[in-house]
Amino acid sequence: MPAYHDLNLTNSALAERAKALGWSSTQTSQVVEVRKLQDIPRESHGLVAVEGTDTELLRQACKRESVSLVNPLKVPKFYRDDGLIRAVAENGKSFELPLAELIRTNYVYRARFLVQARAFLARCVKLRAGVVLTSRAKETYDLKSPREVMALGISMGLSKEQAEYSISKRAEQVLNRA
Amino acid sequence: MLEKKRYLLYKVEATRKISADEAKHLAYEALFEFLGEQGTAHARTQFKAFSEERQEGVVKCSPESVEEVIAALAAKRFWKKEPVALRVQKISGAIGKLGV
Repeated sequence: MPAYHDLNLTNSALAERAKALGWSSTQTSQVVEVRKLQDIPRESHGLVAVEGTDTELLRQACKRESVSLVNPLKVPKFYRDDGLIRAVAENGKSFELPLAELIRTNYVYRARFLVQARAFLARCVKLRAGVVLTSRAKETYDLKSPREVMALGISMGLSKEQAEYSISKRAEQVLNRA
Repeated sequence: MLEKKRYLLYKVEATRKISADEAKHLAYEALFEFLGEQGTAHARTQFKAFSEERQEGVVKCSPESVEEVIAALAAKRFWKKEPVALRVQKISGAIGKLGV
């Protein structure tokens, strides 16, 4: 069984609970909301995840060594933003897909999230951009076991192997580069 | 021909202990919300048992739909405006092996 890593646990107090559920390691990434170029960190200690509504700024962030993860969910029409996906793939970064967004939504919002995530992940696979599934858990109810995360990944259009890769080997590569 | 099936043992985490009747409604609500009526029927899901003492239940489904059912249970986050988590513990082809 490979080692599973949750790269963005919002509440670090849940680390022990996460290990009990089967995660080998958990990280609490520094989440940076990028509104202007100066917001992108030049140096980092640990994992840095960037997010924001401006796709051009996120593309610039991909070029910085300090940035490890890019959360695309706030970008308008992120699921068909080939430019951003290419920038992530070319710079060896990874997208972060926080599952808390899926779990905390309901009804039409969840359906919309699933449709957009499916389209986005299909493009990521096609353009060879890395994707890491993270929890962004604030409460114990947000935490899921690796098996459950893989099942949710499959519901978003990944194969079982791709879902497993996104929380094991790909996550390990991101950790080693940080 | 006897159809193959899988039994999923899941644990309920909630702010209070729930009864077997509530557990049945909770499991079906999770499945209907995520898979819909057709998806739930296609997965051949069936609520089998619930231990009020251990807060563990068993859901039966077809082997092809195991991942969908796990995802449906995992995606249930709120129930009656209270936080809840349904965590799959074990999967087996025989209900007796789950020990409920």
